[in-house]
Amino acid sequence: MKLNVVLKTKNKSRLLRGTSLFLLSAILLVFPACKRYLDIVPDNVATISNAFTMRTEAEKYLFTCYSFLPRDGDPLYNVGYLAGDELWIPTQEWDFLSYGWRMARGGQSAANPYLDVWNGYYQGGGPGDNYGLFKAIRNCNIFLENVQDETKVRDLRPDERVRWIAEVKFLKAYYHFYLLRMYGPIPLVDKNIDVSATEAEVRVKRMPFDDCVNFIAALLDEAAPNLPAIITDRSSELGRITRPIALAIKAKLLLMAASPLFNGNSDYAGFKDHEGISLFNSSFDASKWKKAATAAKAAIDAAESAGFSLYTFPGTTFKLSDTTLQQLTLRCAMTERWNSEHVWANPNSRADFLQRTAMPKLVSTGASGDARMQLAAPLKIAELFYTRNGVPINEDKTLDFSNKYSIRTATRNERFYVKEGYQTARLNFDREPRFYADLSFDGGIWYKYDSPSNSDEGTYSIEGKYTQMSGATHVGYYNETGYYIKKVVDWNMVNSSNGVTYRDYPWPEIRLPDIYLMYAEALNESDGPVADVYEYVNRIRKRAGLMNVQDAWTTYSNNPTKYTTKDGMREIIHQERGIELAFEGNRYWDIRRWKKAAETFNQPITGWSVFQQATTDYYRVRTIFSQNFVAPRDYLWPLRTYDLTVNPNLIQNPGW
Amino acid sequence: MKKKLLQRGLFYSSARKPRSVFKIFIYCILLLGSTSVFAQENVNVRGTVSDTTGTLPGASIKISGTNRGTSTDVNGRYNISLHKSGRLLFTMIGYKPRTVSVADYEKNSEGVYVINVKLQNDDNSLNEVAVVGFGTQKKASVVSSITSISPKELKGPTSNLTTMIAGRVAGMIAYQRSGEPGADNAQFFIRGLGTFGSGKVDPLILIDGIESTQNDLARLQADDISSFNVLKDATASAVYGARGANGVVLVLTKSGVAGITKFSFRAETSVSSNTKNFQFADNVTYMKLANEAALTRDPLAILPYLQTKIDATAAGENPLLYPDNNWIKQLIKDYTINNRYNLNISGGGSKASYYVAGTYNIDNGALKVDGLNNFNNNIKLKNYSVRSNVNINLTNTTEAIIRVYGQFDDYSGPVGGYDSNGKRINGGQKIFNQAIWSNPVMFPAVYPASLSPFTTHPLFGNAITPFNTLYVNPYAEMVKGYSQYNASTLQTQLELKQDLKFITPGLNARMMSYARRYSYFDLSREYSPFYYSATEQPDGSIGLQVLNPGGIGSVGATGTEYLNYSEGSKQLNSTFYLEAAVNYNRTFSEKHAVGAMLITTMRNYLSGNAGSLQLSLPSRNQGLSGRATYGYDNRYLAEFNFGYNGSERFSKDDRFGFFPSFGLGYIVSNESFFKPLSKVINSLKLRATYGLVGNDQIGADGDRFFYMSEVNMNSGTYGATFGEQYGYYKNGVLVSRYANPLITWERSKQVNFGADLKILNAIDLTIDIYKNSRSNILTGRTYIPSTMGLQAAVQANTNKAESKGVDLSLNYNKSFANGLFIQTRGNFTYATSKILIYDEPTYNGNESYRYHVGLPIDQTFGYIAERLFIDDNEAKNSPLQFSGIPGVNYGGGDIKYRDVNGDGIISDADMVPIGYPKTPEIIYGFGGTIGYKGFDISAFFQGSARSSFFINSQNIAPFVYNQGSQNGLLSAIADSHWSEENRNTYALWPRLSPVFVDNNDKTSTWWMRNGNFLRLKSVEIGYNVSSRLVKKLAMNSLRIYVNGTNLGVISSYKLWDPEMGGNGLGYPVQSVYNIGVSASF
Repeated sequence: MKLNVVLKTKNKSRLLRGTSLFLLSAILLVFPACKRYLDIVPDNVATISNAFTMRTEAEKYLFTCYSFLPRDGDPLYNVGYLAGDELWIPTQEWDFLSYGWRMARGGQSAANPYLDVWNGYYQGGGPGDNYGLFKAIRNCNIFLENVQDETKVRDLRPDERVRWIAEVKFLKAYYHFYLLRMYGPIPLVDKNIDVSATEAEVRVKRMPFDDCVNFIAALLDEAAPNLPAIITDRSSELGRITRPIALAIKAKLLLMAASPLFNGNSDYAGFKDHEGISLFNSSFDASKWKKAATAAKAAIDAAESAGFSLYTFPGTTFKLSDTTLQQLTLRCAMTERWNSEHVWANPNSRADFLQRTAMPKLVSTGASGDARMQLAAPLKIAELFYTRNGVPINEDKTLDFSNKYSIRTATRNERFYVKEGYQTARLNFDREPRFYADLSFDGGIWYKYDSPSNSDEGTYSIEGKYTQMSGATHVGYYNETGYYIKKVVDWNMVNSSNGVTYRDYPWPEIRLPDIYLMYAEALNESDGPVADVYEYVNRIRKRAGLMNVQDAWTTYSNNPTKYTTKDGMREIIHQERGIELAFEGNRYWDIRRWKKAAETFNQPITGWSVFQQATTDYYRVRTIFSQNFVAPRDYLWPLRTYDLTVNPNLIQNPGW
Repeated sequence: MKKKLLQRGLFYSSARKPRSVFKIFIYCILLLGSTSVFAQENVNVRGTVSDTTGTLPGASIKISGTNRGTSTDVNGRYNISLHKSGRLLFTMIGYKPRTVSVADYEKNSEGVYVINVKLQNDDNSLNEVAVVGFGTQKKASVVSSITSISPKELKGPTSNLTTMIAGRVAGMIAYQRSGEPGADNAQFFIRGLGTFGSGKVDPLILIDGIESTQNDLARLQADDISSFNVLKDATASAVYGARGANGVVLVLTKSGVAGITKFSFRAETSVSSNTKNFQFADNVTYMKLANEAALTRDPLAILPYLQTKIDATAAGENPLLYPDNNWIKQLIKDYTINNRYNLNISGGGSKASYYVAGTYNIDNGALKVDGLNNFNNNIKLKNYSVRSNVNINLTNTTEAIIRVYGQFDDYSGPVGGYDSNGKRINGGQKIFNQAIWSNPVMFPAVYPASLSPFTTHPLFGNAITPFNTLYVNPYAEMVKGYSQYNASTLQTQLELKQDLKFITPGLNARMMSYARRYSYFDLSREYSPFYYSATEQPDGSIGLQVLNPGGIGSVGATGTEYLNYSEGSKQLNSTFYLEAAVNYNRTFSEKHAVGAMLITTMRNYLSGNAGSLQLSLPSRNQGLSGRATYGYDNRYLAEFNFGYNGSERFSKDDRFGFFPSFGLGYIVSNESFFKPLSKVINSLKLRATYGLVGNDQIGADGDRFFYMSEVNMNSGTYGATFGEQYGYYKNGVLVSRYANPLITWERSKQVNFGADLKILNAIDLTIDIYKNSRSNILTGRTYIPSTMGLQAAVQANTNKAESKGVDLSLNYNKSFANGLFIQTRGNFTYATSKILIYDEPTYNGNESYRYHVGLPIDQTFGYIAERLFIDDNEAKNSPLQFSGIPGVNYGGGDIKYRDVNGDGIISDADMVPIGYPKTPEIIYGFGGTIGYKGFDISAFFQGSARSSFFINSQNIAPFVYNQGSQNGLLSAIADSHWSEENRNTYALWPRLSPVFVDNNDKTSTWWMRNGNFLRLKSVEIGYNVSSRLVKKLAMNSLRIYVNGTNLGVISSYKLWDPEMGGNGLGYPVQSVYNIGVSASF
C-alpha cells in the first residue's frame, strides 16, 4: 500500500529551489500585479443615457411614459367605477377584490388609502401596483430633459422630436390632472429632484389648487399645437395623443375647476398649509365657467374638424328590427373599436376583464368564470334612465311609474326589449332605448351576433331568478341587484364549445358626447340655456332615439318649462350626463364635482331580491347596503399617513 | 473462520481463476456487510498506564492516525493489537499526551509487547495546536475567541451535520425548522444575528480552506473531520477581512498518516419518525363545525353538510359513500428506515500518505407509497461522496497535498410546488401541507379497482366544489408522480508547502489553489389523475362517475394515463481560488516566541445562469492578509491581524478596505506568584481582543454593483401598444437601481474578553463576553417621499446595530479508580442585539413605540390583540380595524386589537414590538457520558430560549377554500373556538368562518407563542467489545451502539414541534432511533 514517489533524489534541490521561488514570487506578484483583477464590469453596460442615444431606444422611453396611463378599461383600476354608487358587486369579492368598492362601503382610510395613485398602492398603481403617478411624472421629466436636448437622439427627425415632446408634455399634464382630481391641491413636479438630494430638498409642498390648474392648463397649451390633429399612420400609431385629446382634457380640467367642489367651496375656506397659504380660493369665480365653455368648444371644434362624429351602427347582413338597430347604435358607440366618436381610446387598457365581469350567463355550457355578471347597477341607476318619451320617470305625465315595482307581462310589441309573455317589473317597461342598450334584467333581451335564431326574433334573454341560468346560484359569480351591465359588452361576444370569446376594445377615455355635454354644462352655467346648450344636448338625444329637450319636456313632462331656466337645464344636463356616460366611470367624478355626493352617496343601495325563486318574491326591493359618505372628508382622497410622516411639509386633506 | 476465508481470498486472489474472482468479490461484500476484518502482521501490546501516584484507569490509548483505540481498565491495564510499525498515543485529560513506537520495544517470551507508560501531569497544554484563520497556532498562544469542538460530538444518527450544531458549539445560535430529507438544514449564526437588511447574515464556511455553502457543511461526514472550529471575534476573523464579519466556520478534513493501511467502517440503520404530527378533529365534528362556520357568518348560508351525511358518517356507513379520512394517517407512515455507511482508509509511507473516504447515506421520507404505480413517490435522498486527501513529500522540505472531493445528492420525491411567494417547496412539505389543506369528508382517497374493472388507471376520489372546480385529493397529489433532482459538487485542491528553513529557521511558505464546480437540475414526471365520484345506485351498489374525462362537463384538468414531463431549474457555477502565504514562527532565547504570516488571496466565482448581465459578471475578491504574534515566556501574548480586501461590487474608490485587529493574552497561571493556586486552578488564561471586520455581501442578491445604475432597457411592464389592430408594441425602460458610488461594506467593530480555566484537573471552563458594533448596514432611505417618483429604493450604508453576549462552555471529566468515568459538558450561548441607528421617519409624538432603535434586530412588530369581540355591536363601537367594515368583514368573535395611538383606526401605526426576536437569543446544551468497562451511556439535552414565533393562522384556518383546496380541522381548534353559544373571548381560535377573515390573519400577540423548548437531543448506549474478543476478530476496535435523537421535548407549545416555528405544517423534525456498528482494523 505504498505509493511510488516518482521524484528522484537528484531532482530534489532543483525542485526545492523551484518551489520556493514560485511561492515567493506568488506572494510578491499576485497582489500588486492584479490591480485590475476587480475591474470586471465591461463597457456598454446599459445605463440611463443609453435610452437617449438613438431613436429606437428613445421611442421605448416615449412608450414608457405612455405605459403609466391608468387602466380605466378595467373595473379594478378605473377609480370612478366602483367607488361611488353606480355599480355594485357581490359581497364575496370572488376573483374581484376591488378597493374602489371597499371605498364605496366606507373602507377608505388615511393609514392605507385605497386607489392610492400617489404611491401606487391598493390598485391605485394599476396591475401589479406598478404605475404610481409620481413615477410616471418622473419618467416624463426624464424624457423631456433628454429629448429637448438636441444633442441627444441625433437620429430623431425634428418634426418627430417636436411631436414626441408635445405628447410627453400632455402625459405629464394628464398625470397631474389625474392626481388633482383625486387629491385637490398637489405638489407640482415640473423638474425632477436629483436622487441624491437632501432631506430638505425632497420635501415638496402642495400647491394652491388654482396654481395647479394653471400649471396643467399651460402644459396642455404648450402641447396642443404640436400634436397631430389626426393619426395618419393608423396601423402603428392609433391610440397616441392628438390635439383633440389634449383640448378635451383641458376642457375637462377647466370644467372641474369651475365646478362647485373646487370653485368657491366654503368647506375649504380654512384649508391652509403649514405656512398659512390657502390651498383653495374660497370665493366663487363665474369666469371659470366661461373658460370651461370656451375650452370645451375648442375641443369640439378640433374633434369635429378631425372627423369625429356621433356613431351610428352601419347595419349588418342580418335582418334586424329598427329597435335592435337603434340598440346596436347605442351599444357599439361604446364597444366598437376606434369608432367615430372615440376621441381618445387607449389601446393599452382594453376592456376584456370588464366584459367578463359584466356578462350574464346566457347558455348552460362553459365554466361559470366565463360570464361572471358581478357588475350590477343599483335600482337608483336603473331609475335614472328616461322613459321612452325622453323625460325622467317621475316627470312623465303620460306614463305612470308610481307602481314601478309591480309586475307586468311583456307584450309582443315589446319583444325586442323584454321576452314576450315574460313577467318583470313595471320599471323595465316603457323606457328609453339607452335603458335597454346599457342594462339588462330578468326577462330582458340580450341580442348578440351569435343569436341562435340568426336574428333578433327569439334571441337570448335573461332569466335572473335564483336557480335560473343568470341567477345568484354561484357562490361569487352572480348579480347582486338584478341589473346586468350590457353597455360594456361587445355584441360579438360568443359562447362556443371551445369556451368563450370577448372581442376587446380600446377603452374610450373620451367619447364625443362627453365633450358635448361638458360644453352644454359650462355654457349653461356661464350664459344660461342658450341655443348651443340645447343644440349639443339634443344631438345626443337624437342619436339615442329621443325627442329634443324642448319638445320632450313641453309634451310629456309635468314640469314642462323646466328646460327654460338655468337651474332646470342644469338638472337636465346632469341627468343626461348620468345616462349617456353611464358605466364608464364618470358618474363618480361628476357627483363629486357637483358637490352632490353627500346627498347622493348617502342613499341606500337597493336591488331586487335576487336570492328568490318566485317572481313575486324576486321583485321585492331589497336594501343591499347603506352607504355612508362623510362630507366634506370623502370628497378628497386622504394622503397616506406615512407620506405625511416622511414629508412633514405635506398637509392632510380636511377630515382625514 | 471468516478471518481465514478472507485471508485466503485476499492472499491468494491473484493466483485464482476468473471464476474465483467472483467468490472473492462475495467475500469482500461479506467483509463489508459484516463489518468484519483482517489485518496484516499485527502484534499484541499490553501494559499499564500510570502517573507519579499510581495506575491510571480510563486513560485513552489510540493508534496514531486512526480512530482505533482502547482505554485502560480499573487497574490501569490495557491490551491492544496493531501493526508492528505502529505508534500508540496515550492521552488522558490533565496529562501530557505521550506517543510510543512499538518498534522501540522488544517482544517478550509470549510474543507480546509489554509497554508500560508513565504520563506526566500537564500544567498547560503548551503543545496543542489550534486552528486559526489561514493556519495554525499553538493553542496556548491563541488570544482570540475560537471554539473548537471534537468531531465526535458532531456524530449522530443523521446524515446532516448542521442538525448537530445546536447546543454543542458555544457561540453558535442554531435551529432546525424542517425534518424533510434534502431540506432539513439547520440555520445557524455565530453569536446571533449581527446585521439586518437583505445581505448575508450567516457565517463564512471554509472546509479545507474552500468557501462552502451550508449544504456542503450539511453533507460533511463527522468521520472525515479532523477539526471543527468556529472563529468568533475580530482577531480570529480579521484575516478574512470583508468577508468575516459574521464569523467563520473552519473545518479541516483528515489527512493520511504514514503507517499500515487502516480501515474504519461505520454502518448505521435508523428508524426515524415525526417528533409530532398534528392532530385532526374527528370528521363528524368537522362537518358539524363546518356547518357552524357557514351559519355563524351568514345566517342564510346554505349548509355545506346535510344532517343525513353527518349521521351516516357517525354510524360508519359505507366509507366510499360517506368518506371519513384522516389524511395524516393515510399519507404518512409511522416511521421510515434510513441507512448510513462510511468507510475510510488511511495509510502511507515516508513519501506519501493518504486518506480516502467514501460515504453513502440513504434518507427516506415518511410518505406512503402505493402499489398503484411502479414508481416510488416517497422521498429518497441518496447522498454519496468520495474524498481523497493525499499528502506527498516531494522533498524533505516540500509537501504537496492533493485533495479531491466529490459530493452527490440524488433526490427523488413527490412533485413539489411553489409557495405563495413563488419559492420552490419540496414535495414532502407540500404533502404535509396538503394533508391539512384538504377536505376529509368529500371523497375517499381512491376507489377499489373492482368498481371499474376495465379501467387501467387508479380511481381517485374527488368531488366538485361549489365553484365548479375539483377539490385537492392529497393522496392523488402524492402518488401521481415524482420529481428528481441531482446536485453535484466537485472540488480539486492543490496545496504546496515549502519549509524555508534554509533561508532562516522557522520560515515556510505555502500555496493553495482550488477549483470547484457545482451543478444542479431538477425535473418531474407526473400524470394527471382521473377523478371519480360515487353515487349509490337504486340496487344499493356503488356507481362511479368520472369527473374529468375532458370535453363538455369535464371539471378541472383532464386526466391522463401517461406521465407528463416537466423540466425544472438548473444551476451551474464555478469557483476558482488561489492563495499564497509565507509563515514565520520561531522562539528566541526560549522566551520570545515570534510569529508572522502574510497571505494573498484571489477568488473568482461565476454563475452559469445568473439571469442578468450584471449578475452574470464574475464575482471576485482579492486580498492581502497578515498576522504577527509575539509571546513572552508563555505568559504575555500579543497578536495583530489584518485583512486588506477588495470586492468587485464597490466603486473603484471604495473597493479596498483595511481591517485590522489586535489581541492580548495573559496566562496568569504561568506566573510564579500563581504557583500556590495551581493545585486548584491548573491553568488560567485571560484574553482580550479588539478589531474591525467587514461584510461585503450586502443588499439583495440582485444588487451587485451599487455604484452603477441598473436599467432594464427592455421592460415588458413599462411598454405600450398602439395601432388599429394593436400591432405596434415596444417595451419600455425601467430603472431598477440608482447608482450610489458611496456604498461599501458593513463594518463590524468587535471587542471580546475571554478566560480559559482549568480547575482540579477535571473542569474546563471557557467564557467569552463580547460586543460587536455593526455599522454601515445598508438600507433604503426613508426620507425620500413618493413624490420623488423613484422606481427603486435609494440605499445607503446608514444603519447601525450592536450585538453582545456571552459564550460559555464547561467540561468536566473524571475517571475513577474502579474504571468508571464521567464526562459532562455544557455550553451556553446568549446573543442579543440592539439596533442603534435605523433609517426611519420621525413619528408623531405619541407613536414613539414605532421606532426600531433600541430593539433587537430580529424584533417582530405586530398588533396587540386584546381578546375576541363579544359581539358585532362591540365591533361596531370599537375603533375601525384596518380597512374592514365592522359587521361585514369582521365582528363578534374576531380578534379585537388595541388602538395604540388612539386615532380610532387600527392600522400600521398601531404595530408595536411584540415578543422576543424570532431567532432565539439563548441556545444551550448539556449532557454527559458515563462509562464503565466497555459500556457507556451518554445523553445530551439541548434547549432554546428567548424567542417567539407566530402561528400562520391562514395555514390552519379550518373550512376555508384555499387555492382550490379546503382546509381540515385541527382538534385544538375544534376544542377551543369562539361560538355564538360559547362566547369565549379568549378561545384559541376566533369565530369560525368558511373564508379567510383578514382581520384575524394579522401578525399579533394572538398568534404569538413562546419558542422556548428543552429537548432530549440524543442518547447513546454503546458497548466496546472487549479487546480480547476484538483481537480474535482481528480488529482493532469494535463498537456496537444504539442511539437516538430528538427523543423528547419540553415546551409549552403543543400543536407541533416548537422548533419548527410559525409554519408547523411542514415536514416535521424527525426522531431517530439508530443501531450502529463501527469497526476499525
